[in-house]
Amino acid sequence: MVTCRMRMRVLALVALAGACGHTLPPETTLTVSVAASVREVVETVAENFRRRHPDVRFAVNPGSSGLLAQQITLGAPVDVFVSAGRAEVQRLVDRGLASDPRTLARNRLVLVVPRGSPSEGMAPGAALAAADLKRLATGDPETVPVGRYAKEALGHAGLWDTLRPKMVFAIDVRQALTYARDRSVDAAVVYATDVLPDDGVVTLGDLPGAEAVRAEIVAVRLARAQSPAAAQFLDDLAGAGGAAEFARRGFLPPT
Amino acid sequence: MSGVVFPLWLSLRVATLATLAILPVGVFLAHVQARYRYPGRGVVGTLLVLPLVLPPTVVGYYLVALLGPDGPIGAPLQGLTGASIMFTFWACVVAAAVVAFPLLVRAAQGAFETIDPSYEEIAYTLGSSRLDALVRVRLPLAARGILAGAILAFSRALGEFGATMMLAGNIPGRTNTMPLEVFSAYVAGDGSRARMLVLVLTVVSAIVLVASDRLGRRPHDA
Repeated sequence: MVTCRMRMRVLALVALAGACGHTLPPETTLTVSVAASVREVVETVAENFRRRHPDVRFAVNPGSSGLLAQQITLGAPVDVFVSAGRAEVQRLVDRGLASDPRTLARNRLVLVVPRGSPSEGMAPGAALAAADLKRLATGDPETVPVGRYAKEALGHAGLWDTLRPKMVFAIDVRQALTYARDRSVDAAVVYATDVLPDDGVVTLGDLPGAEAVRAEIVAVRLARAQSPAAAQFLDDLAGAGGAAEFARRGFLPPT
Repeated sequence: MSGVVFPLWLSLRVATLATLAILPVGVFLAHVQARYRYPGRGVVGTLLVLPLVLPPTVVGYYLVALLGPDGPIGAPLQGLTGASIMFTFWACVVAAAVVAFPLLVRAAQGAFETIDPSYEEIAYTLGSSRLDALVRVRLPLAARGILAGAILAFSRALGEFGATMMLAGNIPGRTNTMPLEVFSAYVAGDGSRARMLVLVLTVVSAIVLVASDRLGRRPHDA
């Protein structure tokens, strides 16, 4: 009897699950693919946007700019893309998938070490040369802009070839930061804005060679975006509200 | 908590639909493999079980190649429906169904193969047609094995990660199933959220196991 009732209940659940399908909410939902490093800024601007447009909902999709751009190329239903690199946006513009790229801000590349690390207090160049630096994390240069910038900067400083065997490549910049925070690596190359106070990591300073790279935040509206809210939201990001939020979190103006 | 409810509900729906979708075709193919000897049977058997041993990323690659905007199935499908299946709810279901399929087929085939052929022969002497014998003798005798396979398939579908990531992406509010959410939370360094998701997924999986145990008992007491 028990078995029979169980079976009925399971069947009822199964039928219910099948019948419900997935219903779309009546409001507009903007899907915003956003580089991991600018997630918080975009989320705050989105919250402010919703105060004026309560009918617009946001689905924020954080990740590495390279993978997000690849998803969009393959047809992902994205309305706005905020990239940590210009190259990823340009690939989409070249394919006619997006237009009107806007530069929102710039970022700085820094070297961080876990709190309490023997390298704490050293200059970045000295820490990179130290013998006890066994593993250095950053994004995968193929898909993560911070990794590409790190490779360019360290190459410019003549350090890439010696450091290359020690590199651990993360799926996005926040994973590189997590590796450092968890002491899985001895140091990480991340953006200055990724490091929060009391976050378990210490910033040693600008990455050697960083003056040779431009780490730009570039946003774009995708051609497939239907809702006018997409363009309005992009205006917010590129406007005074977005600029204030970027500045508040330590980003540099685009200039 | 809202960040857990949607992925959980999505995962349960995806796993349920995937299991229901593969049941008829999986049971039919298992019956054919168990019942008939034909040229190429070994090749078919290998193909049926291949997704079980292939890395999920390889399955994902095949699925994107087939169902993507330029794929031999994806392109005409997009022409028909106007939209690509990639990055949709149905992409999650397809990925989960493909990786779960071999578990169902293996269990069902095993169940069919252990049926004593004399039951079927008796049915024929009593005037049963082949279809009669299948529906009234073989299927009931294999039912427990099929059910066990279906539950295994459901669990596998619930945990599908690699192929889903590639075919369905990880789009919040659309294709972010529980396993993808665990990965997102981990990568983002959001430890408390990752712990919460892992805990919920563990409890749900344990419930599925207990349910399978109960369902698997012979229903003589019913």
